[in-house]
Amino acid sequence: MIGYVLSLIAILFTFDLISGEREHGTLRLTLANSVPRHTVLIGKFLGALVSISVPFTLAILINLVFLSGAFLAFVRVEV
Amino acid sequence: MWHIAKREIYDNLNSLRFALTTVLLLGLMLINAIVHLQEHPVRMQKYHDAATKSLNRLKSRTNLYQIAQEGPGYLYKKPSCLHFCADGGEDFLAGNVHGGFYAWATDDLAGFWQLDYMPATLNRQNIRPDTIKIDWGL
Repeated sequence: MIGYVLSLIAILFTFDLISGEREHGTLRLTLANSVPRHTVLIGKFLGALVSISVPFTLAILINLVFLSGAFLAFVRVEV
Repeated sequence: MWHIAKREIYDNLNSLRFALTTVLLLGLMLINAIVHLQEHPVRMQKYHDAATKSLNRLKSRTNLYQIAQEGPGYLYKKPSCLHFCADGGEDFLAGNVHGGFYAWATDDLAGFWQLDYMPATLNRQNIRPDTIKIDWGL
């Protein structure tokens, strides 16, 4: 389930990476500098990757805390 | 490159989709954790029952040469504690392997045993047999 949702989120974060910049006219400005196109692509990929990783890591950490709390409560009840 | 990446991260952090994604993932993970809390003890109990049964069967066999020849029987995989967030291809992977008799006879040895990695679903047998072995290796 999480895998499917994450795939959709990845699309949500990246669908307008290039076309959005082109619409706003900032792609022309970026490429006017001496920046190779692959650098722009890799930079955008890394940016999107970090942006998706942050909420994912946060969610996993919060749930690990929740699960460890629940496990400790379960152990106390058993004792 | 880092300048472009940083600008992309700042743009995303300030966007509504980032907030929505965080809320959505937190909610989904929370639901997964609650389901996991209900299902994990059942899975663990099932594993313990099967492993104990297999161990008792192994202990009851006293002929060491026969065990070395015919193998230890079924070996069960312990359910993962991180199943709530990393189930991966668990549905396609078997919960046990069979260490059973393998007819391989020489003059000195009547036979030997080998581990038989059965897939969880038979129609997946030709797709990723190596994946199952790697999973058991890890």
